[in-house]
Amino acid sequence: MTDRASVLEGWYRRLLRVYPAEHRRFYGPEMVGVLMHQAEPGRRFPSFAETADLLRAGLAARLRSMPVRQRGTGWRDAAAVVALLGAVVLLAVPARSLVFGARAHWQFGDPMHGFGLDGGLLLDVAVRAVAWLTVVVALLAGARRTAVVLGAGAVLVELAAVAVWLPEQSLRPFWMSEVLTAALITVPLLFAARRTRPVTAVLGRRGAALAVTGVLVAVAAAGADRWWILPPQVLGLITVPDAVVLVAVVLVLWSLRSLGRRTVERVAVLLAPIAAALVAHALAEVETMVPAEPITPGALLGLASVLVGVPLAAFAVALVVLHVTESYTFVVARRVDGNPE
Amino acid sequence: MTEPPLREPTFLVLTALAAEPQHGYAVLEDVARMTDGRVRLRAGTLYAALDRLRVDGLIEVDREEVVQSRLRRYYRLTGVGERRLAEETVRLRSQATIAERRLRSRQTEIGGAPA
Repeated sequence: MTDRASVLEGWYRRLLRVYPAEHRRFYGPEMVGVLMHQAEPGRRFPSFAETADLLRAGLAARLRSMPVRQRGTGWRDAAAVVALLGAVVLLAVPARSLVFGARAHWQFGDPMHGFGLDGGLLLDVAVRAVAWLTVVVALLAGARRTAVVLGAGAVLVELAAVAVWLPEQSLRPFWMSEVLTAALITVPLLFAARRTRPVTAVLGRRGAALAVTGVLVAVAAAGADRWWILPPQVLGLITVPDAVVLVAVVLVLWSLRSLGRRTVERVAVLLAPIAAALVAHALAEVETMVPAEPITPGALLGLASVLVGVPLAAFAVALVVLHVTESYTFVVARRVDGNPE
Repeated sequence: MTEPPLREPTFLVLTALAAEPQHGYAVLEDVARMTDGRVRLRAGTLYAALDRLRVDGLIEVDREEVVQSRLRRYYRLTGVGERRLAEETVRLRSQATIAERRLRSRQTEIGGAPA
């Protein structure tokens, strides 16, 4: 091989690095052969068109090889699981308010009576709870496509529940922001999981029942501070409701034990934005509870960007962590096989 | 479910392999020959098409050879690939027939003679 040819080949090999390792291993030697065959004699560098073609095709191959685009990699099963967990959270949150509200209503009368809206708050949470209950029932019955339609309907119910209280309750979108975020994440997951196995097959019937129970108990116990201001502590370390939340979370994790490691990791990635929405909401709620300043459009915009941006950022970070972990595992596995790259 | 139409490079690669198993460079030459030099595939585009076709089971590796210390991998059409190419050919032909018929009636309407 002449010097020029070896320089050119070096360039081609460097350009091929834009392809995913798997693709390069399979097609690399063959592609270098074709590229060298096609090259005009005496050429030292790849032409602009050739470079552009390799970069475009290489990046497209990388995009295709991204885990979220692949089938049978656990993403759809993970989507099915997280969609169920999301739908149960969305059922549990208004159901909890319904129970507490009904109790308060019975003890002290309707707080909205003065506004001429008898039972308005109860109706709000009751309709939302029923909307998500239908989604959960459809999922447990294996009716995945019906669940997508019911989920979309439930999102409309949530949006309506914000709209009917405006403009009197201008902060309502923020009180409900974690619910809206969770709803807007859950529905695409329902859609993504519409063709995979039913969640009762993914987790097993007992696993699904455990997951549903765990989430219901966790959400109920997390809201116990509304009626139990000074709950007793367990061994002076943790309050009873917090301990119940912990046990319930363990129950949910236990329900995932039948899943493979890959799917569990994907469940974590898909849960990250919902968890981030809950945390962002808790922090933002503290901010908005300070009554000194009137709510300005700028403050609202900032709050909205935090509530949308934080879940997105959490998802991106979780995805990057997963990608890095899997690349590392892949390299280690290949080295163990005695077949280093 | 109806399959989406094949892209031109993909259609041409399948057509090239319909004759006989060929290696990458031979496919490029064949495509250029079939299209009178109008389509000159580059390596990136060719291997993107080959990869997708192989993953979808439309083609498979026939054999490998080393020629002048370079790897040559021959690809061949599978039964699935053959059916897909046949379907696509029927689709293209029916569209071409419709277009031809309409052009002919148009030429009659405006008084032109059919070519």
